[in-house]
Amino acid sequence: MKKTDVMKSLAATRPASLKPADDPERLDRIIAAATARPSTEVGGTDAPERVPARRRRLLSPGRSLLGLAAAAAAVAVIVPATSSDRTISVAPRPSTSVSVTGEPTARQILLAAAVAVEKAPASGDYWRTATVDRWMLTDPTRSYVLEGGRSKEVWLAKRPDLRSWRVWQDLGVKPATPQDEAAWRDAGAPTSWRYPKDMRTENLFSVPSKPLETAAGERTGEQLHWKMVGELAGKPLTWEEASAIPSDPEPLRTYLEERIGKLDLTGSGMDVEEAKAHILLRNCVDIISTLPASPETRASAYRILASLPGIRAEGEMTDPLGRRGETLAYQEEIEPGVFAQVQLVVDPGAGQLLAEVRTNTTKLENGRRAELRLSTSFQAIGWTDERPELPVKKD
Amino acid sequence: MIEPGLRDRFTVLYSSCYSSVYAYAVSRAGRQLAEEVASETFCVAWRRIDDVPDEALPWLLGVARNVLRESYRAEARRQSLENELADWSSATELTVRDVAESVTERAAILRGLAALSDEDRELLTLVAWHGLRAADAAKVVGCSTATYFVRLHRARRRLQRALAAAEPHASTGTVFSSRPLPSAKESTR
Repeated sequence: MKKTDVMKSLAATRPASLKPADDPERLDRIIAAATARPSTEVGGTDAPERVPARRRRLLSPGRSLLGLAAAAAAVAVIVPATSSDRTISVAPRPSTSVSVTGEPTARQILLAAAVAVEKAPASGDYWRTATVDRWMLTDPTRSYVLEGGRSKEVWLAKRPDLRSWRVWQDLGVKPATPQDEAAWRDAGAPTSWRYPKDMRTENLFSVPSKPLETAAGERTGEQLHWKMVGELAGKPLTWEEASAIPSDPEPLRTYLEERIGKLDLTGSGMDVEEAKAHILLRNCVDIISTLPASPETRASAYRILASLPGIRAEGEMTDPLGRRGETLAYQEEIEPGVFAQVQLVVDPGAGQLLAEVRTNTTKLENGRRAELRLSTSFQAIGWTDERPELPVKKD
Repeated sequence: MIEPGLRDRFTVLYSSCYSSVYAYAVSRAGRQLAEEVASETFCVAWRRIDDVPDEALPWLLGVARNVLRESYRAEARRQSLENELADWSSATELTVRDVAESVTERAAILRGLAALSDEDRELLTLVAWHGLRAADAAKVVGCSTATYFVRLHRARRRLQRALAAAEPHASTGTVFSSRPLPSAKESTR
C-alpha cells in the first residue's frame, strides 16, 4: 500500500451501498410527513422536534425501508375524547372550563364560524395571508426563557399582470416573562445568544444554527415565481386545483380522504387510521388558514372540523396578539402515549382563525418549570384589492 | 403552514443533496437506519428552510449528525453500522465493484476503515466519500478547519497503520476484528 495514496485509495473504494435506491415518491413522502407535523419553522424552534425522538425509534430493520418511518412516527394523532385524561403535556387551561353551562360547545363555535366565513369576499387581486409566529426556547445556559418572533405576509396574485410576493421580518428576541427578564438581567443582560451545536434540548426545540439577536431584522421581500399556491396532504396545488376543491362538506371530506389515502403511512408505528384522522384535521385547518379556497370550501372545512371527535371548547382566551376569541383544543399524540395540547383561537363572529398555540414545559437549570409556547397568529386571511407594501431589501 | 415558494426551493435542495445525505447516513449508521435518518434530516430542512445556507450540504450533514446523535440509541446505531461494515468487505460488495483496484486492496482498505474508531471513520469519509472540502467537513463535525486538518492527519495515519498491519492477511481474506486498533484510541482532539 503506497502511503501517500491512502486518501485516493479510500475514495476509490466508496461502497455501492452508499447510493440510495431510486424512489420517485420519496420527496412527496418527506414533504407530507414534514407538513403533517405542526410547525412554526422559525428561528430554529419548532414543534415537531419537541418529540422525545429517542423513544419513538426502536426500530425493526424492515421499517426503515419505508422511508417515512421516522417522519410519520411523529405524525401527531387526534385522540378520542375518552383518552383526554391521559394528557402528559402540561398546557394551561383557562379557568373558565369546558363544563360550565351556557358556554358554547366546540361544535357550536365551529358551525358559527362556518356561517360567518361564507360571507367573506370570494375574489380580489391578491390572496393575502399575514401571520405572526412566536416561539420560545431557553437561553444556552437554560437559565431563562427567550421569546422570538417573525411576521410574514404572502401575497398571491392570480392575475398574470401582478406579481406574487412573500415578505417577512424577524421581530427580535427578548426574555419571555418578567421572571425571565430578571434572570436575564442577572446574567448580564446579553443581547445575543450563541448556542453550542450539541446542546441538549430534550427535543423541546432545535438548537438555533445562527446566533439569536435582540434586535429586530429588516423587513425583507421575495418575489414568488412558483405557480403553486399551497399544499394539501403533501401534494402541491395550482390555482386551478385550489379553486376546484369541492365546496360542500361531504364531497370535500371525500376529496381530502382520497388525497390522504394516497399517502403511505404504514411503518409509522402508529395506527394508520388515527394518523389519517389527524391529517384530515390539519388539512381542514390549512384550508381555513392558508389556502386560497372559496368561502364555501372554507365554511365546509369548519363544518368537517365540527364533526370530528376530540375537539373541545375551553372558553374565551386572549390570543398572542391580544385579541379575544373562543378557544378550541385538541390533543396530538406525539408518540404512543404522549400527548401535546393544541389550542385554536377562533373568532366565530368573523369566521376567522385568530391563532394556533402549542404549549410545553421544561425544567430550567435552577429547577423552575417554565412554559415553552409556540404560536402562529393570523392577522389577515383572504382576498384583497390592496397592494403589498414592499420593503427595500429584496432577496 | 405551507408557504408558496417553499416547495420549489425544497425540491432543488432535495434533488441536489439527498444522495449525499443518504450516503453519509449509511456510512455513520448503516443502511438499516439510513433512509430514516435522511428523511428526518430533510423534514428538519423543510421546517427550517430559511436557515439553510446557499452551500447546503455541510448544513444538512450537520443536521443528519444531530438526528443520529439525538434520535437513536447508540447501541442500535452501532449494530446497524456493524452490519454495514461487515457487508462492505463481504464478497458481494467487492465483486459488484470490481473496477481498477484489485479486490484484495479494496477489501484491505474497507477492513482497515472498519477497524478504525467511529470518529476517524467519519473524518476520513467526509472528505474521501462525501466529497466535502476540509473547511466544510470541519463545519459538519463542529470544529475549526485547522483542528480538522490535524484530526484528519491522525486518522489517515491510523488508517495507514491499519492497512500495513492487515497487509500480510489481505490476500487470505482474513476478516479484521472490528475492535479498534490500540492506535485508534489516540486522542482525536
